[in-house]
Amino acid sequence: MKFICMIHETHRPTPEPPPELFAAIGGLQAENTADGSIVEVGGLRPVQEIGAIVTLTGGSVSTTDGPFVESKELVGGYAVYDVPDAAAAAEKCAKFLAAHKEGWPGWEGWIEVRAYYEAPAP
Amino acid sequence: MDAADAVEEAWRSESPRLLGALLRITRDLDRAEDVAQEALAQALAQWPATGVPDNPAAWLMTTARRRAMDLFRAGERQQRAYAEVAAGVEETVEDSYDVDHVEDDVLRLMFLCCHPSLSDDTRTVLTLRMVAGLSSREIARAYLTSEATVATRISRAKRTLASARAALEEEPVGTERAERLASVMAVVYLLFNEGYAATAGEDWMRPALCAEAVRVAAILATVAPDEPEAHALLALLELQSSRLPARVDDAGEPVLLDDQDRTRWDTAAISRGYAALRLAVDLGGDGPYVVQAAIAVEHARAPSVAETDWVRIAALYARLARATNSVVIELNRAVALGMAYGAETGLRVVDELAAAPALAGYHLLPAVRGDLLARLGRDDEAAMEFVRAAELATNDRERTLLLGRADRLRGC
Repeated sequence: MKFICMIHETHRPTPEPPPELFAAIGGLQAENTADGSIVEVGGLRPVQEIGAIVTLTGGSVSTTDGPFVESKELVGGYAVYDVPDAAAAAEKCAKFLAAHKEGWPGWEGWIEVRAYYEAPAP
Repeated sequence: MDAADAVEEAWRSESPRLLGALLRITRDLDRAEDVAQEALAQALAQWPATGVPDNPAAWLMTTARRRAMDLFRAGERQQRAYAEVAAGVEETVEDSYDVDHVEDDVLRLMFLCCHPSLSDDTRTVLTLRMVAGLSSREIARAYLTSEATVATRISRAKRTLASARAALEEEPVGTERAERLASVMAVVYLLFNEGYAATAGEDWMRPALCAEAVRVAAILATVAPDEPEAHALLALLELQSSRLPARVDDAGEPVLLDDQDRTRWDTAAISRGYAALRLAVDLGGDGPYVVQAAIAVEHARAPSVAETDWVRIAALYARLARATNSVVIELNRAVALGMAYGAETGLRVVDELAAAPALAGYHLLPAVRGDLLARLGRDDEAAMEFVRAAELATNDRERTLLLGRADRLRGC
């Protein structure tokens, strides 16, 4: 089953992550490549830096390029895993967060694990 | 899943960890492999009756380690004492049973498979067998040789390693560690290239070999996660692999970069390549694999050959040529220069290189020269170069491609 896992950051202790974090998540990413569980991965730039929020409300579509009020939390990246079940996907994410705990003390956040719909049966 | 499949799958994913751990206990590759084989045989005998265990890998590890310990207790004390003295380890075998040495074990196994006492070819074969978990038959198929040849090569390699007492060496540190890492990376790269453009035979490439190389590169980056070059190598191989689906047409004929349908590139592999390169750079990497991966990124993100940033690619090749001192890299730089600043410029560099002894007999030299000449409208000279390249090429499909280009230039 395919799952997309989106990383929400709620607290960043330092402006930039230390090298220890890169080694820790790099090791995990390589491990997931070796066992074939990782499909796709991507880092996302902060929406304050570039991006937009497009809204439909009260019958009108509007685009906000910033400044954004909701900046307390941002999605920093995502990974798509192909694993047997949701528990296996959650385990991958738990390891990813454990790597943050070790590699970037004080960092806080959460990961949203979402399953793709399988191909529709006609 | 039936038991035999489960055993095979567990072996393929676990062989480096299993053999690495057994190597630490037995200090002998042959013995480590024997013990592992016994554990596999036991699994094949038991699993059909008891069912496949929840964690097949852990089952194999426990069984194999237990067997290795039995061997010790059964009178291998001398070997053990020798191993401890030679390796300077104080720990008892029982201690090593509990401590989590997995990463060191796997790295040690990789170092051993790429030991300086072995030839490059032997290193690739041994790495495929011990780290990728391929059987002699699978390796023979990949290299278009006989199973017996592979088996002989492996047993000879084991003898060489035993007489060099390679398995008893201490874990390398400092520059020696860096050199050993570099030799593992070189072997993985060689493995990939053999799959990417097979040097002999009918097939233009062997994707299975490329996939194994990516997997081995990933294993290396897993056990050496603080090495930027390991991540960069993985990035490079992912990015090159992304083009595999576009490198042959439906008839199995090679399709060169210029003519590839870029919509067939594997975007998932590209995303993994980007991520691995970003890690390498964030870790402070700027070595040869980082530069090569950066070149691969330029191709991956370009919508067409014409819209590729050849100026940047030429600059990256120049950086690489300075770092590696390789004429093959210089040849690549000539191609990039030809694209960035015109065929005339590229040709000038190629002509300077033509005298280099290392490139004598290298089919890509006349192929590149032919390409540049064709772009300058010097068709007759270009055709001659393509014929010369075809004579030197060792891959059948590539030879056909080169002769086809010569024919078209002559208006045939």
